[in-house]
Amino acid sequence: MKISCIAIDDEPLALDLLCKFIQQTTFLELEGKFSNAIEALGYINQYEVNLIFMDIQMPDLSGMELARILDGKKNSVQTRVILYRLSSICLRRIQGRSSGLPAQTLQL
Amino acid sequence: MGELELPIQFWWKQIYLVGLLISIFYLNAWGIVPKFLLKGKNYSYLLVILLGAVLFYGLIVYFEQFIHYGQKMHELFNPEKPYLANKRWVPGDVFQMLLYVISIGLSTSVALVEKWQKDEALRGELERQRINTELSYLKAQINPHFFFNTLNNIYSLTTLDVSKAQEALLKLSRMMRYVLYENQKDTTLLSKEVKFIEDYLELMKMRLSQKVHLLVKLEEPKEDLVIAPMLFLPFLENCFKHGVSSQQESEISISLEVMGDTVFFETKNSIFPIQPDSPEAHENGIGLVNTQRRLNLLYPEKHRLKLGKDENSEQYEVHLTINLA
Repeated sequence: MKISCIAIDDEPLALDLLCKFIQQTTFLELEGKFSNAIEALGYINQYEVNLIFMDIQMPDLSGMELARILDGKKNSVQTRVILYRLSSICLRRIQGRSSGLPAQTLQL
Repeated sequence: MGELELPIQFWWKQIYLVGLLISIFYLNAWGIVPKFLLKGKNYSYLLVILLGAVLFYGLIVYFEQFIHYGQKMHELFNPEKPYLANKRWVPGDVFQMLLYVISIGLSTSVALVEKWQKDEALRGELERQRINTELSYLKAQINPHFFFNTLNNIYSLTTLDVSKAQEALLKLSRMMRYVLYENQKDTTLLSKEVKFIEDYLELMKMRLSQKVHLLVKLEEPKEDLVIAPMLFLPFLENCFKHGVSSQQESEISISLEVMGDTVFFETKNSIFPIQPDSPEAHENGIGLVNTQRRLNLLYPEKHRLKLGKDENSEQYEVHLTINLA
C-alpha cells in the first residue's frame, strides 16, 4: 500500500524539487502540491492524507501552525507531518504529541 | 616764495614715519589681533591700541627732537619768528594720529577677513567630511536573505534543470561582483546599474509564484552616464516586500527610461500586509528614509522623488527622476 502525501512550500523551485524526490520514492503517492498552507488545509479537510511534507517558514500560515491545527483536529485518519527548513538557522524538533501526531524536522 | 629747499630732516622723518606705520600694521595684524581680539578680549585689545597710540606719539616726538626736525622746519617756513622748542605744530600731530588710526583699522580688517576666510574653508572641509561619513553609512546594502534564498533556489535547480542553474549562478556571481566592488565606489556606469537590476529581477523571478505578474521595462542606457551605485535597489526590494501575496493575484511593474542625461525610474506594486514572521521583513537593507537622505546628499536639486499610494488603483507608486549631468 502506498502512502498518500502532499507537499507544501512557498518557494516554487523548492516545491518542484520536493515533488521530484517524492515521485522518485516508490512507496509515496503524491496527491497534490501547494504553494501555501491555507490551500493545503482546504485539501486536507476534504481528502485523506497520510503524510505532509512542508516548509516551516511560510507566509500567512507557517508549517508549524498548520501542524498545530492538524494536531487539534480529531481526524479519523492519522496524518503525519514532516517539517523541514532550508537553512540551519533554527532546526527544531517536535516530537510525539498526545493526539498521535509525531512530526519530525529535517534539514535539507 | 618759489622753490623751497626741504631740509634732509624732513625726508628722515617721512621714512621713519612710514617704517613705523608698516611695523604697526603687521604687529597689529599678526600679533595683537590674534592675541586679544580673536580670543574675545575686546577691552584688553582696546587698551593695547590706546597704549600703542601713546607709544607711537612718544616715538615720533622723541625722534623729531633727536633730529631737530621742529627747529629746521620752523626756520624754513617762518624764518622771521623765533623758534620755541616747547610748542608743537598741532595739525601735524592730528594728522599723524589719524595715520595711526587708519593703519590700525586697515590691519585689523585684513586680519579679520583672513581669519574669516580660513574659518570658512575649514567649515567647508568639515561639511564635506560629514557628508562623506554619512554617505558611507547610508550606502545601500542588499538584503543578505536574498543571497541565501537564491543559493537555495540554485540548489533546487541543480537537480531540476542544470542549464538554468548555471545561468542563475552566473547572474549571482555578476551581482556579487557588483555589490562587492562597484558599491565601494562613489559612482558607477548607469549601464552596469541597469544590468545589476536585470540580474536581481531575473533571480527574484525564480522565487515568485504564478500569482505574481511582473512587468519589467528597462531601457539600455547610453554608455557614458554615471550614477551612484545601488540607488534603485531599495525601491525594488520594497516592491517585493509589500507587493507579493501567497494567496492573491498581484502585479508589480518596474520601468527605467533614459532621456538625454535624465533617468526616469518608476515602480508600481499592489499592497499587502507584511508577514511579521518572514525574515525579510526584519532585516531591511536600507530604508526608504535613508534612501531619500542619500538622494538629497548625492543629487541635491537634481532629483525628484514622488512616492505614495495611488487612491484609484490601490497601488503603491514610486516616481524617481534624476538628472545625471
